[in-house]
Amino acid sequence: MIYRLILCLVLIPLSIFGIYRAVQLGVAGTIVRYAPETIFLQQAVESVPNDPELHRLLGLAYLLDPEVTDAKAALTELKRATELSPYSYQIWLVLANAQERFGDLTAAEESFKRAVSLAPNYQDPHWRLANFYLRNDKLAAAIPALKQALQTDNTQLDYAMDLVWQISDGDLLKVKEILPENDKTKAIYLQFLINKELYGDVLNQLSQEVIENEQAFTKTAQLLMERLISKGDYQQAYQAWKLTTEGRQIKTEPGRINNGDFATLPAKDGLAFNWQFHSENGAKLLLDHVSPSPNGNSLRIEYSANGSPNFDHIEQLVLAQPNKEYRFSYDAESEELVSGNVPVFEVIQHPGEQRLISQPNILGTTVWKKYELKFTTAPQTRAITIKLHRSGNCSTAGPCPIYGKVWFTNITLEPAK
Amino acid sequence: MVSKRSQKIVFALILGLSLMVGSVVSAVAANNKKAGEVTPIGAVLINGATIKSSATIFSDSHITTNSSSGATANLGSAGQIFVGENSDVTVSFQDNLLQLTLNKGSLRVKCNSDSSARVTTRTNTKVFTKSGSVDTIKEGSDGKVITIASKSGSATDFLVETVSGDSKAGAISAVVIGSGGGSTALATGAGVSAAAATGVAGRSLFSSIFKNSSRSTNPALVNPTATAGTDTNPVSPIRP
Repeated sequence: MIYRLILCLVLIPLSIFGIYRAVQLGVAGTIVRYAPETIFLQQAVESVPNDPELHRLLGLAYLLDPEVTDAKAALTELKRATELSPYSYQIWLVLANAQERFGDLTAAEESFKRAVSLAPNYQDPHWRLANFYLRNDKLAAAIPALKQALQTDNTQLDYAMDLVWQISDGDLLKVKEILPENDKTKAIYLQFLINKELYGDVLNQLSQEVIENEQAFTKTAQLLMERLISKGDYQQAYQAWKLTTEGRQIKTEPGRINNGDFATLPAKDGLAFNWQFHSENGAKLLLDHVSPSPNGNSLRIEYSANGSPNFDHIEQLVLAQPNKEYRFSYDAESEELVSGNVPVFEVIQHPGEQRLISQPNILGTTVWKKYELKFTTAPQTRAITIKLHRSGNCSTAGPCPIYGKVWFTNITLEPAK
Repeated sequence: MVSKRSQKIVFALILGLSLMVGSVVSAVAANNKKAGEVTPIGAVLINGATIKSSATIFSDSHITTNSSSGATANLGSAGQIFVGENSDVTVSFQDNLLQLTLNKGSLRVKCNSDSSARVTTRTNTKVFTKSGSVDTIKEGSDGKVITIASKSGSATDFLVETVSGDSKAGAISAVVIGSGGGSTALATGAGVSAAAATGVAGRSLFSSIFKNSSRSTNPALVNPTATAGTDTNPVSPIRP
């Protein structure tokens, strides 16, 4: 009996206290949740002065809310929060920020390190410590912290590399030091180099990496190729293309049209140095396996287009030499092709965009015939785009529809003998 | 009176901040590069790279936010900036000078009495001054380059917001909010009415930089070259 009485005497006050605290915390939590203005946070802290989370949020508000910015008040709140909850790494991180803002860099570093020691397996403390070092010109200390932060999550790797790049005046060795060892981060690193326009470095490293893991780097090679083309560096762009999965499979020598006889099934998403196809409504592209000979392949285009449509059917980029005479040729036939404007081949030299046109005589129904275009490249020419195009501009007024079928094959570009 | 939406935004903001554990900044010279600290709220890009936690920001950086993100940056003695949603800002800073280019969105700038700020924009802009004073200057031959400059000597706190969908390119409206919470429309026009100016009065600029940001009315096309139809295979092998 006496034991029950003692138990009641202990449990009842404890329960009342527990209920009181729960109500107090609940009210504070509700205030924070539904009225999270700084003024309400201040009231919540007054109501529940021993809640470390409220002190942390209020400290944060003093740092970030432009209405009440006050580093000293933030410091007071955050120090109180660490007293109430000394093992919360999140509070130590905010305290470190407040100390840094206040100019106490020694205390800030200690607080960042305390956060790291409390949560050594979390990314954020390492990341924040590293950034503290970067802001304070301590690159050597920042690098291991950055590497640690990026081990498990490389979301911010791009930005981390940019920071180190900037602070080290473009020292790639320093940038490489923060990289975790895996193919994914290598690919991100190479992409970073592409963004910095260090194309030569990327090509060198890419050609080694591709041997080890082709799939992991083919997109990087493609990106490099695209950037180099946009820069007008066609020779290096071709080398980058040869590092893509597509480029590695193709044995055509540079300066020649690849798959001009459509002997192999064209890639659905061919890259610049291979056929790129654009099938559209009104102009269906098909690969024909029985024409021009029973074993020959050709590209068949079936037109059924009203109005005045423009079509870019296929195109391919080819390396070329300046001041050189070339011979461009192809075979074509047609079946009941009706239009005021038939498809033509455009030969576009880069740079300079000088255009030549080869127009086959394929109106109505025609049999296979070879067409040729001889030309000399300009002094600045480094590459040529071969494009099969149909313009919707007829010489007569009104619409310019097109109907019927046309075949093309044996498309070649070679130095004239 | 704080609107419900404003409360929600601030709530989301504080929650986000609490998750990210806040930030502070001290701008110091690092290898001759001025450094500050930026704290993202949601998905933020700096110089095209994603950040999800407080990070260092060097001068001449480019901050981009989306429809559900914002950022604060403490740039030491140069001041503090708050970037609203759907914004695009280039940030340059020296010891006591902030030079900002607002390409779109909204931006709040706080400078102390020793520092000054210049915000340059090429679009229609609304300017709200919370404290101190600013000058707006039209520049360029077409008058479309607008510079909003704060004056040193007193602490300045102002918000710049680009206005989308206004055909009067280059026009600018300035509204000054009195420090006591009342508002005075100094100049209105180009889509800003006195009533709109009054609506801003008393509102926390901290929340309003997120609330006031204009949403994109021209979403980017997805696969703009695609055409309607079912023929998605560029080349189909056939055997007639």
